[in-house]
Amino acid sequence: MIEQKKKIIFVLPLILIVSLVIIYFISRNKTLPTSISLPNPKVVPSPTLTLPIPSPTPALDLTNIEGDLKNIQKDLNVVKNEDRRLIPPSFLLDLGI
Amino acid sequence: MKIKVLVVFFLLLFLSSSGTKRVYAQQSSNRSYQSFVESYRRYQQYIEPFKTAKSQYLSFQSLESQVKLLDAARKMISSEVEAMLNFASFIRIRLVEATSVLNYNENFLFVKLDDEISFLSDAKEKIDGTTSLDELKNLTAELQSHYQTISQFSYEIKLVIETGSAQKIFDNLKVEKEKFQEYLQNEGLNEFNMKAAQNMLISFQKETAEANESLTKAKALLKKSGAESDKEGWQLITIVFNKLSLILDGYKGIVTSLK
Repeated sequence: MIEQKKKIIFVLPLILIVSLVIIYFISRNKTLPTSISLPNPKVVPSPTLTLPIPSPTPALDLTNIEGDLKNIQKDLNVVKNEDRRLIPPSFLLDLGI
Repeated sequence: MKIKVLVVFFLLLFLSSSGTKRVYAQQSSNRSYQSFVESYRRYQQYIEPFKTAKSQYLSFQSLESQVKLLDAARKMISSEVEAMLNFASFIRIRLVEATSVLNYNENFLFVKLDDEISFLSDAKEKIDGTTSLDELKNLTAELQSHYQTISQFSYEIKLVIETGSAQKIFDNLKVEKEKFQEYLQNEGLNEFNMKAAQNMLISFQKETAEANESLTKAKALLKKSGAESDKEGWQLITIVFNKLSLILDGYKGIVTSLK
């Protein structure tokens, strides 16, 4: 009985893995519906100027850097404030009697 | 099966508790500091009555004045120990935060702080049992020695936190420098402004190198303990923060010039 249980414990995960692999391969090999091919449109040469390729906006990068520098300044201020909290306070420890 | 369920349960419990530990530590360091401030203020209120009682005892030397002095001294020292205990607890919590946030891994400070906290808890109980001024004098002499140790730890923890924070700020500024360099590659920028900004970035290289050198030396000093190495460490960290402030102001200036 115990041996049978051990076999089941070993076999079940194996079955799970195998079934997942089978499902994966089935889904990959599914054929797509055939597409209707359209006739190629005639290419008309475009006149005049070529527009410049848009680049990532520089202004946004600068705003990003500015924001980062403000956060770094905040961190610097926090550390400076920490200076005071960790300075040990003074106590009257000599009774002078 | 039961064992597996128990293992999963304890694993989940451990994960959830470690996640909340940092949040709890951050909240409780502020609360702990507040407790210390309140207890320190209470202690300060007992100083004047003690001084008055002391001056009367020294003038009259009567039994009555001696009893009043003993009572005033007990109240003052009791509140003093309470404040010291709260301060030691606060610096311990700050060390916990430094350990989790700044990758500080040394344990000896924890062990020693726990010893001091334990001493102060015992001292608190002893005070009420004192029956003479001599006993109080001996106790305050002991307190003086232990408080010197706690103060030393506080300065060490301060150095740990400052060094770790300086490293993080230094690393962040390095990232910003790279962002600037990437930004200055943009073709759409005014050439004059671009060259000026590049020259400014180059001019901060010396400050960056000096900050890095001082930071490296300060980190090396963390491994040594003692007043002398701490003093040298703070001097180095002061240099680092001054350089970092200079670089930060310079970078802000570059942003303004490019706008």
